[in-house]
Amino acid sequence: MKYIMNTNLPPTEKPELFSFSFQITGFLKEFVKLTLFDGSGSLLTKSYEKLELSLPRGLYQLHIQSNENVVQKLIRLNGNYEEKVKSESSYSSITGEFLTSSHEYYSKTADHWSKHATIKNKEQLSSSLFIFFRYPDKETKSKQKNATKSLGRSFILLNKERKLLYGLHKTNIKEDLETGWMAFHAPLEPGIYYLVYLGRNKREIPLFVFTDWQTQLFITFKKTPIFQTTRLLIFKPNHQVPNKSERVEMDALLQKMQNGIFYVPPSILKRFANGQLENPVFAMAICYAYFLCGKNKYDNLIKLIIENLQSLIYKNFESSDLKAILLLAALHFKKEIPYLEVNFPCMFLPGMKIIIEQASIHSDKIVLKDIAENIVPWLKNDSIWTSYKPLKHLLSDSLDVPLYSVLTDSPAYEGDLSFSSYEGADSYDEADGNDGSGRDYGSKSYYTKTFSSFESELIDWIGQSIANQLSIKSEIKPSIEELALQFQITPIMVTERVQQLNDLSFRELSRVVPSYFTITNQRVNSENLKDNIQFLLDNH
Amino acid sequence: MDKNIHDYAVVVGVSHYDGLTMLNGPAKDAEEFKNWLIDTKGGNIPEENCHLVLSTESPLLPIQDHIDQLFKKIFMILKYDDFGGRRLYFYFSGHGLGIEWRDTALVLPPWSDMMRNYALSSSEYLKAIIESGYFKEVFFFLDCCRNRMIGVRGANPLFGSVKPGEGTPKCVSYGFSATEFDNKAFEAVIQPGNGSLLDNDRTRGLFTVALINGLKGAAAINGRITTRTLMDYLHLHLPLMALEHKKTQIPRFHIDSDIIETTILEGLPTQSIELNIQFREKARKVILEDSNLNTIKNDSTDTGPWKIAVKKGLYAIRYAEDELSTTSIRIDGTLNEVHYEY
Repeated sequence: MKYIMNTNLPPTEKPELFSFSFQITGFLKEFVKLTLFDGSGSLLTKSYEKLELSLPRGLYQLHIQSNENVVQKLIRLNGNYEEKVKSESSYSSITGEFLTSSHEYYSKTADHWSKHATIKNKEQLSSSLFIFFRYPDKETKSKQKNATKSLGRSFILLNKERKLLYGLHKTNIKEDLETGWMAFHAPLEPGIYYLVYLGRNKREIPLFVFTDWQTQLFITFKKTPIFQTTRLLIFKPNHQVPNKSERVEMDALLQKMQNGIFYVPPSILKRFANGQLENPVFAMAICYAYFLCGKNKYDNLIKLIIENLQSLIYKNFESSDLKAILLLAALHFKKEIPYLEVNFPCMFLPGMKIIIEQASIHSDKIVLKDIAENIVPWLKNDSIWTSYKPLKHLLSDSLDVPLYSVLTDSPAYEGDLSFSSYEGADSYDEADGNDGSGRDYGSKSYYTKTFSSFESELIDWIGQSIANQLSIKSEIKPSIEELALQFQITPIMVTERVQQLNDLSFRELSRVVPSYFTITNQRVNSENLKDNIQFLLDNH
Repeated sequence: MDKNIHDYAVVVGVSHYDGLTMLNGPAKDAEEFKNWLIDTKGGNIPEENCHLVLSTESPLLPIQDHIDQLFKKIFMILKYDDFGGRRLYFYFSGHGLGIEWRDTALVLPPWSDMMRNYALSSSEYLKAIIESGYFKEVFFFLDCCRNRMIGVRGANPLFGSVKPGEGTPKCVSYGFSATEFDNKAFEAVIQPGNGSLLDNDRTRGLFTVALINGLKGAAAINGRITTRTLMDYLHLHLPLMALEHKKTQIPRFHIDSDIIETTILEGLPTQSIELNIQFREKARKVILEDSNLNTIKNDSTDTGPWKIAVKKGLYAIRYAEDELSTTSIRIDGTLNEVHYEY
């Protein structure tokens, strides 16, 4: 127990002290942060779950901060004080007890369809993918007068080879347009899958299905999907009594991570280290949060958790998240960087970022290949889950049938419905949760372009950034590796862009030199660029 | 009062962007901060030592060079000043991107997906300013988001020193960021994110509003504002201000020194403030207490409205027979008269 002086009192007076105890109880109590201020506004102490200290008589202000909410409480301390407060319920895309946002009409439906496949001709497999889209509530849905189309519209699911598996249309889903939900459940072989959204502001989300587990994806809609509300959970379909509190704890941890707070309650660390929990995605989230918080108090526990995680998914060693966690562990414990070949994206964005960062530093040990490398320029940063703008050439390869029929379950359209022309069909406004008021990067131009218009650009942002760098005459010339480190991409990607720039004519090159630096002659910049490209290629 | 002639400031407000959404608050925020800096009751800096840069749409300015030239101007004065500088204030309001825990890319107007490094690295600027050796104290106030984007690196300053200046080891620095690293809270539909409020001409950054209020006296304890009292004030008030607007925003502070507490401003008058309390109910006994639970007044609501001389601090008011009716009245010291209805 601590003793804290009340700063309002002259230092010579010895104040009478009272014991002060404030505790959060109930679900997610470990995630509630308590901050105590005295009457003058000085911060006295802060801690998760409970505060116990001695305090002089007086007025105090307590901040009770759960993930998305801060509640202020005035405390009039006139004697020994003890209070227990039940934690407040929370909002989430997932359904479950304790969440105010759950609503029976969503939770019962989600529960039912997570246990029953929605596709026809399903095989009996122990691994599966469950996708549940929902509105915040049915009242919100009823106000969306124009949103009469299926929530699954514009979504397709690709397999590891990026071949089309399913369109989320009425043949493959169950839905209720009135209350606003859609469920998709398909038994699948373990491995990586890609959920692609082809509506306005296209996006792709990699989903890993683990052996004997069901991967669950939840997204809240408001006309269109609000991808920032994405939640990925994992569930054991054959469990008679699913651990509901574990599910909500995991959601709380993910929500904290979404808000940039990397905190794992010690009680959860201990439970996982003791092997009491067996959910691999929860274990992954714990590892990420622990390594990203930069502390080392529970290093012994996290080592055990990684061991447990490896044995939990011993059949799924190709998981890129597991590779990212092993890499983070090597960095944290200052061990040798492991050799890693990453062929497809992590589900967790922090995992993707650490792999990209370290691939530029240790290009001999960490190799990004195939789609994992191709998506790097197009990663989105508004969620803890990896997502990116899908690449057209990777998509079109996968589509053996006209896109329109895939998306609508209708007979193939006879005219030319190319990828870009479909874009215009989805004309309603994006309600992506960004009200434009944040001092945050908003998507103004580039993300809203169609693929066809983007491809008319000579080079992408990486090529442009390299061109900017190389169009300045300098005695010290950067190497491919230095450029890779600077742009947080792989050396292979830099080499490709430099080669791409080298293949441009002088006239085309002059189009990509920076237009903001008008002090220098455009022609001189282009010549510098050409010289520096040659130098890089000669010395590579 | 003599001006703090050895103090300097660079204040930047960027509203216009090539590849990002326009912001409505930064110009007003930056102007307000500059006004505090040159106010005799505030930073008390000579106006010529305080450089304000506001963005323009056509042409899209400022570019990095404009800002660096202002630092050069300050350094050139200090180069020939035997006393050197005392304090440097750097304020930025605009789009921001988190790079690392202590580094934020302060995004400039030409920024776009293509020109994704067109931003200032806050940590590199801080380092270069400290290593100039001209200042004893450096304050950075950054009112911008800090979420991350792949491949974004803030630019190093164009100015620099061959070797760290003589004053470098004695320089202390304090960074006040509007939000946590990597923070972007787009969780609930009703709660879309962090940042400023969209309210036409009155749009303001929440952080700057709280910051200026604190600097104007609300963060003072016994007439003195220190780095610690300002941090505590922002910790207490910014999340609540954000909450009123259905946003989540927690400030973050960085101190590069063993000296945690430095006085920002002192000698602020502990003036008497008139608290004017009106009562909704009749014939109820009401007690007003100060933060040490001393009774200031205990009387019937029928004697209202009460006009009581109080000082800055926290007060509690309640019905005598009902302790659960207690509510707080915080007098932050920035107004001479406070009205409250109970």
